[in-house]
Order: sequence, then structure tokens, then C-alpha cells
Amino acid sequence: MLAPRTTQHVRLLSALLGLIAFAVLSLATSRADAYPWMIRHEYTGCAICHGDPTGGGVLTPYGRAQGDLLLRTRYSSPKPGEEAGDPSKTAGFLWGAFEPPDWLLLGGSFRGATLVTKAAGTPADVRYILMQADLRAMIRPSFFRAGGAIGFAHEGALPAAVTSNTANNVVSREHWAGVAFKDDQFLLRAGRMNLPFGIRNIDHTLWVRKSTRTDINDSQEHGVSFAYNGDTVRGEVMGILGNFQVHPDAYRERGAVGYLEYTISPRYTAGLNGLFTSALLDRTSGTTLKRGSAGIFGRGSPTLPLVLMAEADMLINAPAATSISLGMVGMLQADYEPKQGIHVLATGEVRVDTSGTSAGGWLGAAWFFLPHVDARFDGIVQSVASAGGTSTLVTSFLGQLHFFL
Amino acid sequence: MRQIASTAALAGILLFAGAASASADYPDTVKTHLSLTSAPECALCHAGGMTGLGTVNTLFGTTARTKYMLTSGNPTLLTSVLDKMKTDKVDSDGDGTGDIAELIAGTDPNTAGGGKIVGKPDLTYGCVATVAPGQPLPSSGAAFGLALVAVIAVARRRRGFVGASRRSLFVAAAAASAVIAVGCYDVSYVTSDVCSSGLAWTGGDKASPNMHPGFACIDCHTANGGPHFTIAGTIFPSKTPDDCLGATDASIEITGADGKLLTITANEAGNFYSELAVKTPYQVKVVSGGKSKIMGSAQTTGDCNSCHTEAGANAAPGRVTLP
Repeated sequence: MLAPRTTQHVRLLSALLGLIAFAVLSLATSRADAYPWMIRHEYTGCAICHGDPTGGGVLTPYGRAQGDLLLRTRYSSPKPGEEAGDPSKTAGFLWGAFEPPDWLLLGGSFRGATLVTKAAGTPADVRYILMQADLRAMIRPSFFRAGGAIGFAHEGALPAAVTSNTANNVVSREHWAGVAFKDDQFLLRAGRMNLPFGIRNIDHTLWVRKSTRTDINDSQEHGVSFAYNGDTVRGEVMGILGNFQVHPDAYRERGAVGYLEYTISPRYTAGLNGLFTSALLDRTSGTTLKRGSAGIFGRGSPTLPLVLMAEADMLINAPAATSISLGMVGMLQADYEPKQGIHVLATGEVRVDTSGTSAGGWLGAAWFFLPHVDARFDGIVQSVASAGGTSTLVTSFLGQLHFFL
Repeated sequence: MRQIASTAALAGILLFAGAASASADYPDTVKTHLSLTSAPECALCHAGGMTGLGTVNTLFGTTARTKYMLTSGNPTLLTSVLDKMKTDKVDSDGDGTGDIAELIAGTDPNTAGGGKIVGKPDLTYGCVATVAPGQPLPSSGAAFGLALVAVIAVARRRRGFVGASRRSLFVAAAAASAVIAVGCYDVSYVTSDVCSSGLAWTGGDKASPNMHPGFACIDCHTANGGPHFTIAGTIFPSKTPDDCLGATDASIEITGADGKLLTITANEAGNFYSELAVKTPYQVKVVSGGKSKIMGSAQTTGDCNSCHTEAGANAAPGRVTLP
């Protein structure tokens, strides 16, 4: 039985799909990494800067250099003996205090946040969150590749937990091993990995990430993946064997996920992604789980300071043979960088599901103000639909401070 | 200098501030406070099981939130609210049975006349899941040590193995062994001559619905403080050693002396279990693929595997097998 869809839903769906189509087609729009707006510097792919071909995580030496040259605010002209195109000595691991061998990539990320949330009719909720405290490593001698992360989560991130506490857990978001071919054009690997789906950014609470369960906070799954990283086409397909850090087996999702991305021009890309999984029991609802998502995404940089990123995904849930509900989720994000290292971000998002239509807007700013250090502030207003046709207005303020090693 | 001071101040505020006030531990608080066998699902309070601010909209959740002023992140307040709801005999769904009485009975206080809200296997996270009291941690630490020693020994004997490659192999082997050692993978593949299913339980005494197929469940749970089952056992495709995973797509039908039928479906390990009381003596039937077979005599004990061992004990003909 299809879920009832109101005229308003259809209108919103049409509007959002139109918006996405506009972003993808007329802006001549790619695949994303943790900072997908690096496309403004014509970095359409991720593997040149990241150990993971689909983005995020440990940085290559080249990625560190470009991060120092292009990511952070630079306050002065090159010092005597330095050339304009040279990264500073602090670009390396631990601010350059230690240089690992070529076959070893090391990194770490520490992100703390203050989150103030106010839902209509309830008192404000103030939370201080250690969002991330991970150490990462990757080894890559010859054709062998293996990567992993180990960290601490004060709260949440339970699906990535190694220990079994309700809070204060050791977590391992990623651990995998594999082999690379043809100068890393191909990578076959197995283990726990981020799901190759949609725009991979740090905004893991965006509905496009939450509703599709593809965020880089704790939505990784164990499985086998094959990635291709060509000049104009990139893609990764992964067979999901389940999250073996979740017990019992009945709660583990199994299925497949993948994306394909095409570089239209050096600063425009467009891609497709799909996912389907099933589980005997859904960790969230406790019912049988059969879900799928399919959608499009794109990035484009019409001028150097501006990057537009868009994603729209259809949501399909079929917990029982006779019950199918359809929904959709989408977002459009603009990143404006008036001065190197300073970003103004505006994001609109929408989610349509059986509860109704939810819409949200983000306005934020980020400043990469020191080597390996950045701060970000976001104001978020969301109208969240709940069962029964009611909506709740939720206002949030999020301040983050991030260090990476 | 100002930048450094600002950074330090922000770091102090953001990284070393107080604890969070989410409600992730509420299900366990309810379970503990009301002595339930399983923690209730998020759907008890959150409509559709979707958590987050503004989603506490079920009948039970709304009552707790609006009438008893329950807020997030306060387990002490939650226990107080549960006590008050019990005293007040709050009946959110108006079916004549109080909310707390329904929770204790294992039914849904949001659905008039029943609807099971507890009883599904507890969802746990991490590699080192709960171990029954009094039991040692899984002995996989020893396995990890042996595996690591073996890998290093083999690698040391390989000539012409590039240094970086060798070091990398050590690191990868150590990482993989560590993951296995801490027990994320509680079921392993084995050859079919060991287990006909090709799968064996390797999670030690880690609490899991899949644990130790073939073992006498109730006897072990009684000795070690595990969940109280009235009936429990394992269905196998054939005569099989302990710890081999059994048959799926099968069920046990128990007909009590009072004529009430209880159907228990075997899980992916072939294990079946129930906490519900059954009037003895009862009849037992194994059902699978449209076929069935009935146990010869009525039974009074539910610890099936205590007699249905691999060889069979107390005149039992070996395992509980498919019809």
C-alpha cells in the first residue's frame, strides 16, 4: 500500500527535484569528500588528497600540502627562503613534528561542539559534545592497502563502538584492508568502511545523510568494495555484509550500495547513487527492515569563491510484503569563500516521509584560522513533521572547534 | 598571541565541557527499574521509533512528558515518573490495564488490548558484549596472541620480503587479529565436515541469541544468571556437534496441558527460546517446510538440549532435528 501523498508533498517534491535538476544540469555540476567544496580548486576526485578513494579520513602528503596552501587563511607573504607555492613546515603530521615514511599515512581528528536545541514547547537543551576524537592510520606498501581508525566517543556513535557501554566507548569507525591496481586506479578492499553514497561531507546530521543512513559518523558497515578512480569517471560499489559491531545478527543490515560520478568539466561534476538493504529487525523501529534509496547529486563552482552542492534521494521502505512507503530527501548547499579559509555556508533541506513534510535551513560560517585548526558556527531552523500530522519547530545553534593532526 | 588565547579558550569550552543530556540510556533505565527481561524499544515513547527532539509523541511518551514533566537526560527523574505512573495507575491507551502493568506484562501501553513492545532480542553494541555474571571474558585474547606469533614467525622466515611490506603485514595482521580477538565476529565459517551448516559459534560466553547452539540453555542460564527461559533448545538439520549453527526456517509448536498453543521460531543459529509459562505436561511438534513431526511423549521440562545432545541422553534420540 502506498503511503498517502498530499498535493503539498507532490508540489514540494517537484520543486526540490527541479532545484536539483537545475543545479545538476544548468550549472553543469560531482562526487564529494569531507570538504566537497574543494572542487573550486578543480579537485573533482578525492583519492589524490585522501587515503580513502571516496574521500574523508587520513590525508596523503599531497593532501596535507594542498590543505596548507588552499584550505587555511594565510596571514603573511612567504618568508625568506620560502616560495609562494611551498606549503609551510607545519603542514605535516603533528604540525610537522614527525614525518612518517612514505608507506605510512598518519592522522587524527578532534572535534568538540556546543549544541543548543530548542523545540517548541520544551525547555532549551544544552549539550557539550566531543563529536570526534579519532586517531587514524593507513599503510600502503607496494599494492597492499590497509586503513583504520580508533577513537573515543563520549556519547552516541554506538554502531561504531568497540566497547559495550551506553556512553564513553572506544570506537572504530573504519578498519579495512585491500589491494590497489594500476597506480591506485582500482582498489578492492574488505572491512568496515564508509558507505559510498551521496555527498560525503562533515554535516552528518543533514537529512540526506541521516535518512539514508550514510553519514561518516557511525553509519559505516562491514563489507567488500571495489572502487574505480579514473580521470573523468569515479565510482565505488560495496556489498554490505552487516555491521558486526551490532548484536545480535538480526539487527545487521545486508545489501549493496554504490555511486558513479562523472566530471563534466574541471569544476562541475554529477553523479548517481543507489542503496538497498534488509534486516530481520530495524535498530530504530524494531520492525522488519527493507529499505532503498536512489538519487542524484552534483557539485559546481561557477566562480572561485562559490560552490553549489546538491543531492536528492528517493526513500523506499518496505518492512512487509504488502506495505511500501515512499519518501524523499534533498538538500542544496552553497559555500561562499570571500577570503581564503573563511566560508559562509547556506543550506536548505527537505524530507518527505510518512510523517509528512519537514523542512530546514542552515546558515553557518567556518574559519580555518590556524594550521590544522578550524572553527565553525551554525544556526539551524527545522520544521520537523511527526506522526499525526503535527509539526514541531526546532531551533539549534551549533559551535564547533576542530583540530586535526 | 591573541589567536592562541582564543583557540585555547574555545578548546576549553568545547572539548572539556560537561556531560551530555541525551536519553539513550532511558530504555535500560526502564528495564532495570521495572525488572523487565528486555529493554523497551524507542517506539515506546518515540512515534515510529524515530528519536530526536520533538518525536516523543506516543500516548505513553506524551503522558510522561506533559503530565509528569519528564525531560531528556535525567534517569533519576524517569524512575520517579515511572513510580508515579504506577501509583496513579495511568492507562494511556484506555484498555483497562495500567501502563506500567502493561510494560511488566510485555505489552504495549500505546495499543489498546496488547501489542508486544518488549520481547525482541536486546540490541547491543560493541565487540565486547555483555558477559553473564560470573563468566570469564571470551578467551579470544589467547587466540589473538597465538595468531600474532604465528604470523610474525612465518613472516620472519620469508626471505626477500621488503622491510616496509613486512612491517605493514605485521600491522595489518595485528589489527585484524585484534578485531577478531575482541569478539566482533561471533560466528565463523568452518568446513562442512566440522559443521554441516558450515558455520560455528565462536563468540564464547558473549550474551547473544545465537550463543552456544546445542548446549543446555536453561541449565547454563540458571547457573550463570542468564535470562530465564521456560523452553529453549536448538533445531539441527542432522546429528551435529555443540556450537555448530543449526537449522533456520523451522519452528517449535508447544501445546500446553490447557490447550494453549505457543509457536517459537528458530533463529539464524537454530536456537529457539521462550520466557512464557506453559502448562505442563505439554506436547511438542517440530515444523519446517510444510512438514512436521511430533515428539513421542508429553514433556515437563523445557531444557530441550539437556537430553537432545549429539549422542542423546535420557533415552533421547540425539538432536532435535528437522522433520
